[in-house]
Formats: sequence, C-alpha cells, structure tokens
Amino acid sequence: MGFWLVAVAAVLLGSLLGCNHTDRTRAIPPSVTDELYVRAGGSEPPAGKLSNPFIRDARAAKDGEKLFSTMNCDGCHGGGAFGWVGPSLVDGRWRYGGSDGELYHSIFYGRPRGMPAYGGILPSDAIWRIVTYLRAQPIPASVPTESWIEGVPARSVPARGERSGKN
Amino acid sequence: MRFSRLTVAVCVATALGAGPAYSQAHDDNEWTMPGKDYAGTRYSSLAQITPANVGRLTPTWSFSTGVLGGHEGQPLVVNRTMYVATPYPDVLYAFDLTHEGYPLKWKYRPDVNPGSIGIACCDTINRGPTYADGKIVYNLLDGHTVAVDADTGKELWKTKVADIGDGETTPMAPLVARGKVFVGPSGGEFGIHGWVKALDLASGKLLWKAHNMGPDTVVLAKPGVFKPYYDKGTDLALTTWAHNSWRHGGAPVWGWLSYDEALDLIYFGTGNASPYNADQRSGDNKWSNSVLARRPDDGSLVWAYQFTPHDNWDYDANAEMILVDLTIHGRKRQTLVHFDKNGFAYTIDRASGEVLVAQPYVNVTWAKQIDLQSGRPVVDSTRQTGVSKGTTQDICPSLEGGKSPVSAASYSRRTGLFYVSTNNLCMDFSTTPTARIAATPFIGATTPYKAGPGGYMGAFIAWDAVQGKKIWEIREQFPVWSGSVATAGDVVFYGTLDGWFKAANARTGKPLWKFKVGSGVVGCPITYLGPDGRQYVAILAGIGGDWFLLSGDVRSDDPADVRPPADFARELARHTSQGGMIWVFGL
Repeated sequence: MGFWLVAVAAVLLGSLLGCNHTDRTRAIPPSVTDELYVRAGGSEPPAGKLSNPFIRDARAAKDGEKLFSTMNCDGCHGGGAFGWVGPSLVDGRWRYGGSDGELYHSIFYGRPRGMPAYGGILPSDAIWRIVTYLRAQPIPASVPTESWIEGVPARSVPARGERSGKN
Repeated sequence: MRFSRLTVAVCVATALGAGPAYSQAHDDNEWTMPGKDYAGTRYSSLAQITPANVGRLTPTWSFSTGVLGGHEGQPLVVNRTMYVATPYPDVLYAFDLTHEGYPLKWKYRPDVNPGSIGIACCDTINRGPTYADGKIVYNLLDGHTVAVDADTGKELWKTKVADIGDGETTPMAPLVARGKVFVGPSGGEFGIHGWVKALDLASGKLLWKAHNMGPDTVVLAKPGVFKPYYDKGTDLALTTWAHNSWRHGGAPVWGWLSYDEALDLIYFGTGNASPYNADQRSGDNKWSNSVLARRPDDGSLVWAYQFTPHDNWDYDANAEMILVDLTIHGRKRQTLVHFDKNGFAYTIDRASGEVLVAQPYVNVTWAKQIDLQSGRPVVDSTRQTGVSKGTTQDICPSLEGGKSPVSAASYSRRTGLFYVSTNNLCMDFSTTPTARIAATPFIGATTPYKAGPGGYMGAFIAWDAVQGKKIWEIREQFPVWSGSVATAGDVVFYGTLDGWFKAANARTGKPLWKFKVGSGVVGCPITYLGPDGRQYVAILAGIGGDWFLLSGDVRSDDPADVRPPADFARELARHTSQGGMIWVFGL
C-alpha cells in the first residue's frame, strides 16, 4: 500500500512540476522560504528572493526608526522593539524568519497571530527602511539563561539564538 | 509581606445602616454572574469557613485549562456545574460537580480569529461568562458574543458585536438583565469609538447601541431624560473634544456592569480617552473616564459623571460600580461605590450622580482632591502630560491604576467594608504625536513605572466608603491584581502576582492562610456550596493581562520571544510563569 501512495504522489508531483513552472512561481509570494521551515524531501520550494536596497544604510535605518514609531509598530513591539504585546524583535530570534526578505514579508503581508498587513498602506521603500532599522539593532550575545543566583548577572539583554537572520 | 492594622473599631460602627442595594436574586449556594449579584458585591452568605478554621483549608481539586494567557475573571457555579471560560482561544469548560474529580460534562471550542491576538492591547484575556435562562453567555476575543446551552454545551447563537479591523476586541464579561445581554469593546489603545450594546438574550439580535461620545443622537442623550448632576447643555460628548477627536477617542467598555432593578438603571465605567497624547484632543473628552447610567430597555442615558476630565494619564474608569445603600451624614442613600484607577474612591448617589464622598485610597499626586461642589478634581498643574509638557515626573498612581479595574473589589454586608486589591506604583510620562491607523495602536506615550512611597508595590485593603477611609491593609511585595470575595464567615480571599492565594480576617486584616497556586493570580475568587453541602472557594491562577507585558520573561511557549527582566519588578518572574489552572479549596 505504501508503494501505491508513493507512486500516486510521484505522478501528481510530476504533473505539477511539468507545466507552467515559471507562471506558478510568479504567483507565489516572494520570500516564503524560511530557514526555520523543514523542507519535505530536503528540497527548497521554488520561491522568489527579495533583496534589500538599503543594506547597512545608516540613514535608511534612521528613517526606519522613525517609521517604526509613526506606523505604531512600537505600540505592540515596544519602544526599541524589546517586546510588548507583540514579540521582541531584538532578541535575535524569529517566529517567521529574520532575513531581510522574511522581515519584509512579515510587514507587507502581516502574520496570522495579529501582525497587521502594512502592504496596503506602506510603499515598498518604507517597508525596506523599517527592515533596515530592525537589522541595524545590536544583536545580543547568546545568553539564553536568566539567573537569580547572587553574583551571577541576570539577563540584561535578550538572548540570541542560533537561528537569526541570513543577510 | 508586612501587615499593618490602622483602625479596627470603625468598621463595626459603619456596618450599621449598611445593606445591599436589593435582595439577592439568586441562591447564595451558587455563583451565577460575574459580580455574584446585580449589585456586584461579590459577597456570599456562606459561613462554614471562618477565621477559626480557615487554616485547615486544603486544595480539593485542580484542572489545567491548557491555555497560557492571563486568567482574569471568575468561574460560575450553577446547578451543580462549574463553568470556566479561558483566555483566547476562549474555551468554555463545564465541570460536573456531582462526581469525584469533577469530570467534564462538555467543553465548547469556538473558532476564534487569531488576528484578535494582536488587536488585544494587553494579552488575550477573558473576564468570564454569565448565566441566565439556561444559557451561558460570554464574549470571544475576536468580537463575538455567544450563548451556549448550559446543559448540553450546544451553541444557541453567535453574534458579531465588535470589529477587530477597527481595533475592537471583546474580553469583558457580559451582564444579563431584563432579558438582554449588555456588552462593550476594548480598544482604548486602538482609537475606537466606544459603545455599549444590548442583545436579545433569546436570539442574540442587536436591540440597541449607544456610543459614549459623539452627538447626543448616538450617545442616546435625550432631552428630559438625560440629567447629569454637574453638567448642563446639549452635545456635551461632542463639544468637549477638539477637532472631532471623539471619532477615535477610545472610551472603551471592558470592565464590569451592574444593575439596579428598582431604579431600572445599568451602570458601567468607560476607559481612557485616545490617544494618550492629550494635546491631540483638547477639552474634557466626555464621556471617557466616566460612569454612565443607562436604561436597559432602550439605552437612554439618564446620568453620567466624569471621574477624570481630559484624561492624560490613562486613568480608565472601567472598575466595577458596587451598588449598596449607605447612611451618609445621617441620611440613608442609594449609593454606587467605585475605586477608580485615578486613585480616588468615590461614593456616589446612584439615582442622581451626585458625588457624596471622594477620598484617595492610595498615594495620589496628579490631583489634590475632588471638589464635591463641582465634582471636578483639583489637578496639580505640574503633573499634566502631553507633547507640550515634555516628560512629566512622579505621577501617582501609575497607569496600572490605584487599583486595576480587572481586580474587582468585594463588599461585606456584615462588616460594611469594601475589600480592595491596590497598586503602589508611580510613573513618569512622555508623549509623542501619533496617527490613527485602524487596527494598529493609537497611543503615543512612554510611561516607565517605579514603586511608590514605602517601596512595596501593592496592598490588599479594607475601605470604609461612608467615611472615605482605609481601615486596614496587608502590604505585598508586588502589585495586587486579583479580585476578592467576602463571606459571611468574615473571611476574605485574594491572590497575588507571585502566585499565592490568601485568606484574611475581614474585620482585622490578619493574614490567616495561604497556598501557592502555581502561577500569579489575576482572576477573581468565588465561593459556593458543593453538592456535598460543604463550602468551597475557587480561583483561577494564570498570570497575564498587563502582567504578560510587564513581568519580563514569563511566557515560555515561544522560543522566538525572550525578554529582559521587568525593570521595576525584576524579582517577579522568579516566582511565576504563565499557565492557567482552576483551583478549588475546601475544609
């Protein structure tokens, strides 16, 4: 029975991959690839890549910091993006991926647990500036431990995991 | 924990002439609505548990709700069944109290839009269900009110009342009276246009909607019917907002409602004016930060009183309005007692809206006193906030309130005292101009906290609403955010943020008993008579609400969200993490 399932799946996959591959790719939102996701068969999905036009641009980061406040991002993620009702964005850890493209995706389309989609009101340029601001934040050393033992410093900055952004 | 007794003798005297607003509508063996009765007293005549035996209280049952969010509100006990509504995803459990281990009769799992998680300002809380006419009625976070058959768990109706796309969520506990369900939205941090709605209990159909601000036509302030005690004129809720700022002026309704059958009025408080930057909305901003009295049948506004005109400290007035009759200056009055976030405790004539007594119940710096002639606070001009004021220092109470509206107070008919969980926090306040973008926060303020004078951050107190005076207090290391229950056994119960459930002597404030319930307490205790004829006390444990935002790293289910310790309460996360548990205690 297992054999038949595999065979049917192979036929289905073949027919999907065989036609209109490029059109299908175009219909997929860019940067859905996320290194946090496990890939069936070990293969990366045929998704687009986005590149940040402002990588390491200090002025764009400054603009992004202003936008982070004027677009009310700080109302949920807290001043300095340290986390409030929404998660911290400066702990080096990401629910939906921390590359520039993944951050762009999160802001443009929103995310299901209450992150509003800003793609309808913010031009691409502005979203990239916010991404650049977030990426410019100092990423703390990997300190997953918070301690109350005397003499051991408590966690003063959020911990950075192993899975932070790519760019 | 420290204990200090201020005065004890006074409480006995003030008990004379004190009484509930009206006779009990329900059997005291049960707990059928959030505030225990329409008057919101959270008082039970059960008296098996006393100061003499409470030391022997032990846990008899516990149940994990499987949910992490802040477990505010209280269980219900009706017809030998306990009902508990959880935070998002708003599961409703019905436990059979007639069998050992309280097995489930049923559970109801609604399909709730997870988008509401990001629209709820302060965690995914729910303040509990209510029972009426064979139905359990409660709100889902995503703007729906549902009625479920109390026996079978079958959904009877589901009505969309609020719009998360416009910043509204619905964690509040509905009130049912006169065959109607009264509900309101949260969203004072999202620039909503606050309202209250009445639904038909039988069908869920909308009967009326009344806004808290705007022209008289939407406020339902009708000539000859609306008679505020202190204010004169028309369109007060329109003309007290500069530049049409009322349209996104907040004034949410997320607290508790009460009802006086004889006067036929429902009472509720309204929340903060939006945004926090008050420079964007010059004027009194009526009826934000107010108590409103409306006719249940058509929503007509009968009177309104604003506790904090031109709120520039986020002093929501959503705390409960407890309806009791008190003898004040030798005269029996029908009163409403309210512990406002602004730090003053008000005793108000609930027929007219006249303020009879208003005294600070915690440390207050923003105002010197309440002028009883005008009903207005005498404000300290150096504690005003707004972009034009820069950073304002040392405002007390903090915007967590002298007391959180979440932590409903109780009133003992025997002692004549109110039992109140309080915060001893102050804040600095700086604001920025902010733009209203639907479904995003509309705040524009940074407000760091610090402990108030004395260094402790909270206290559980007994209050005399006739004299406007604190009778005793139990100091706590952290703010006290649970509700309380008063019993005829002269024992009062409350919980703490570091996860203790406690009992104290109602007359003296002497701590009598405590038990560590596994997570911080932001819920409200209840008491009931079990099918075995014994008195039990129940509490929800599960820190959250504002304390999800403020406690530092207390939610451990998301490896992608790790937070630094809370700057003003570094020790708190040492004692608690999130996680919902229902506890029952008995002798």
